[in-house]
Amino acid sequence: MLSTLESNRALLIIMPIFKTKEERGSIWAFGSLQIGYAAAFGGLAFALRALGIGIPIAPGMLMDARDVVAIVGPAFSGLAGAIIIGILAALPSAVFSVQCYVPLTMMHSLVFRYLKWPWYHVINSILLLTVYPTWWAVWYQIFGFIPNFWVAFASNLIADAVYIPSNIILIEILRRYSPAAKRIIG
Amino acid sequence: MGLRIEVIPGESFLHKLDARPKFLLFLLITVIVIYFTDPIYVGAIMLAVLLLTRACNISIRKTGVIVKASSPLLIMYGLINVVLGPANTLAAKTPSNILFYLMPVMNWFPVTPQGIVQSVAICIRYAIVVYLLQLVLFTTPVVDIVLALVKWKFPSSLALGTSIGFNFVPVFMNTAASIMDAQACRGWKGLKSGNLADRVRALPVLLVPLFLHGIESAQKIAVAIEAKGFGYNLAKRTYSREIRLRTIDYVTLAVECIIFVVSTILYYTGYGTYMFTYSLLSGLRL
Amino acid sequence: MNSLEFDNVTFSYAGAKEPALKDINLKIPKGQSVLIAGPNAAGKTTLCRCMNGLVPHFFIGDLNGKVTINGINSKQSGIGQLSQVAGLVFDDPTSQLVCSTVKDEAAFGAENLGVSREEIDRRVTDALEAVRLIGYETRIPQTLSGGEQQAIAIASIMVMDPEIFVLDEPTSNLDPIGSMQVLSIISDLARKQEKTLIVVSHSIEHFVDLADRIIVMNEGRVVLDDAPKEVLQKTEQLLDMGLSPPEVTTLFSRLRAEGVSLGGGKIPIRLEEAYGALKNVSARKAPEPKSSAAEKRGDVVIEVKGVEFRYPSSDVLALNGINIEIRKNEFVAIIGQNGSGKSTLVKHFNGLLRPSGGTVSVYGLGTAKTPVWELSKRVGYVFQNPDLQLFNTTVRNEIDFSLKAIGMPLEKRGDVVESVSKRLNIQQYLDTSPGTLDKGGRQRVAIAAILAMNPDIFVIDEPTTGQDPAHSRQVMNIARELHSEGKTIVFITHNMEIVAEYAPRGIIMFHGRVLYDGPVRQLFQQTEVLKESFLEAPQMVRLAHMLRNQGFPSTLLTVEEMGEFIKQNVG
Repeated sequence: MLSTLESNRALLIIMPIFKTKEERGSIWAFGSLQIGYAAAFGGLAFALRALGIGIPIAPGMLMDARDVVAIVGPAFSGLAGAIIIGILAALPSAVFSVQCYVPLTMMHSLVFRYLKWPWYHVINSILLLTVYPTWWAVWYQIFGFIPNFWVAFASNLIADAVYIPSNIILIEILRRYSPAAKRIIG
Repeated sequence: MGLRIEVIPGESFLHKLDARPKFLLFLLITVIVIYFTDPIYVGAIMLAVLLLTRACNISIRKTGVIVKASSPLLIMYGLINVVLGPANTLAAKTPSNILFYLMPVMNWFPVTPQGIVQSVAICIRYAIVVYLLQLVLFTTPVVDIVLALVKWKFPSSLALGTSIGFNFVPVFMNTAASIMDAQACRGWKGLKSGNLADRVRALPVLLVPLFLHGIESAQKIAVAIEAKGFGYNLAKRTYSREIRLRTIDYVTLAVECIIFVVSTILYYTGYGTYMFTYSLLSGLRL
Repeated sequence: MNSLEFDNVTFSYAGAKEPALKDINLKIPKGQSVLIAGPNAAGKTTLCRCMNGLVPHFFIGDLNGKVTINGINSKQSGIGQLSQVAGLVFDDPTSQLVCSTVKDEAAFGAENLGVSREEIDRRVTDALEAVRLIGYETRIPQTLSGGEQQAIAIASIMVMDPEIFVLDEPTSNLDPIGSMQVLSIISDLARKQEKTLIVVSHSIEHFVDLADRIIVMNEGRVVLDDAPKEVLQKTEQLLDMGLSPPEVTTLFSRLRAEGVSLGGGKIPIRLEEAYGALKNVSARKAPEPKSSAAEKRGDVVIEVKGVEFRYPSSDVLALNGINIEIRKNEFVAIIGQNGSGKSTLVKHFNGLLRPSGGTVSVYGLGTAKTPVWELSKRVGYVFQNPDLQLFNTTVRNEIDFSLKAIGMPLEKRGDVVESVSKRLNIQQYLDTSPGTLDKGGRQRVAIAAILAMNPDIFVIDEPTTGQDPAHSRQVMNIARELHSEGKTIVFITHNMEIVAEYAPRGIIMFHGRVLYDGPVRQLFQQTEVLKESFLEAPQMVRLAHMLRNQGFPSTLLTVEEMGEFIKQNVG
């Protein structure tokens, strides 16, 4: 049984990393505001892909702006909304991307839900370098478009590495520009 | 990107088909296209899809725009498969199969006819998958998709959220274009100039105002649907449109099941691999 | 039973320092039509939000006092329930439409309430008929005009069959045609259907006939609440708050203040009343108001020759044979409905659009091959919505961004930022985020960013649409200052009073053609052209026309000119 002082110290280590229950809200909360965020960011992701907006990294490889939306958007919409963002982000490239995007957006919504600044940046970056390229490579393999796992992994890794500074910069600007955004993202 | 989100009006088979068997049809085609790695099999599927498009009075050219727009990617996947595909790696183990090397000096990246055959199948596969998406969008109004989801016990708020997102896509496309115009008026040179670091720095110039606009729109959407009584009683919500499965839908579902079973049998008994065409070709040549 | 009752209502949004509403006490009986007016941030929108429960259920905060809607206490009832009693329509037509077809949009509210399918069909047909959109059922809402979109928004509220209709600035984002469309629907609601109607608007002139009562708010309180005739007598107070009473009211109030009495009685609030008060005044041969003497004409800075333009996915010619010359130091207004081609035309001036046929040259440089960022050094384009451009974390960086983009060296940038921000009165905000400023402040930051580049020509896109009058004037006054410094100003608008007050030259566009290009004074004489393009001359001009036979020159433009003329002829 920890004495008060020790238990407080233990809390001190955990506190700055994780958001409190009040800051979080209910996990499946899906009121009209979350619907609004989900629809807005999902529509945004779709629109960006439909317009072809992105940064060309190599011939044939585009760093899609919609992935940045798919990473940052779930911070606003919560878990259920992340499903919507995932579906809408996936559709413009081909129906088969839906199962790729939805788990990823849900993952990000959890990251933003439970972690405080700057830990969500840290975890997001780690995810972008590990889980993302693996997951995409798996599906590229299943569909056969890039049959060698490591080639698929490497090409996604490069793209994802570029997403890291993009979404960090975006979130930092949003937090400073808009008090509303700061309240939600944390 | 070439993707058109609009419904081409019509009364054809695809238009009349309920969203649920339609969606399953497209899923089915995607699955069997993955089963088969033979260009002739996959080509036959492509032909069937094109005939279907024609039978529904939809212009193949118009639907094909998205394939044309994705052609760089398509070619890239094809080339990757020529070298790295399972067909190629397997066949290259027998040196007599090797046609040439991509890097002749080091004898790296052997290319075999089996590899070429399989990669053609991959290209057709990609084209079909991408083409199908456009075909869905041309024949299915968003509201039908929503209703189908609701019938499949998707929570209605999720279904509605998705449909609202769909409907806002053209609005956001306009906003994104306006933002890029507006920033150009301040001397911004866009996302295509400069080196990679410049471009990454240029992205927030577009994304920040776009995100802020997204946040603002989200709130307006939320207020609008609340003011129209959205949260009143989600369980008892009615829908002014009704979708029902009719004979045509049941027939289609039956046909889909048959196709699925047949394809799975073919797959597991080894038909439809690239060896089919390869043997045909080698038979012809030799 | 009253439709709406506010008992000692004070409300603060969560996290706000000041209450948005202070001590509101109002009783609005059934069937009354009320106009709510007031400057920005007066609390009008918050008041509307109280009327259907958005406050306090959606907009969290501290609600003291009681709001009763048709007998229901808003704190004890959900928004869903209250939406059956009070319906709310907002100012931005596009973001309140969420469905894919007009019919679905109209049905949405009724679907939410669990109304049976047959009943929904019946209500939708009735509603679409009431807003005159029968036949539009399968159209896509996002492709319709602003007026049609607002009509659908109103229809979608009608299907919920509420007793109370609350419309928050329904016409402020619309062009004149759209406004007319919406106004006729609103007046049907009030007259034929006898609903309780609450309208928030800046265009007092349009609603003065419709409203039984005007409530003026300022800083969260109700400062005036009476019949229109009474409220508008307090003209000076309204003007001080930055509101725009009808021009005839301002005219008579000013004349009275200067000792010119035109018979006793109240200050007229309608054009007909003003005419009645003036028709016995006959003018002696008074000189024509001084029209600008033949000024020295500057060089041509923008030349538009035979320009045609077609948007990529369209067959229609958005611009059909335009020939215009804009000279140095001119102040030009381009006027027309939405879709007339005015925005399309001015976007050619800085290369945002390139002509499909013909040429556009700026300072002799053809725009076809010059990139936008190059032309932006000479042509500054001020967008209607500043939020499309602001993205930096401090105002200083925001202004600096443009300077960096055009390649100004670091040493010079600091001074330019300081001087520009001082000029636009945002110096104290230099190190804060633009997101913390109000709409007017953000607009000034956006203008500062353009001004810093020191272009010679300024194009201002619709400074009047969707803005309250005080704010529009702020932007126009900055334009006037710049003009006096030798800059060339081109602005787009469909607000005729602003045109009369600021621009010596006007160009009317309609369906991609120029219908008129010349001095504004003569512009308002072209009754045929104005009618063809559905534009209405300002009240003063119409008054002068009506008084033609008494010797009033019909080229009087503004309240000041009319006032001067009357003073000379009566006093």
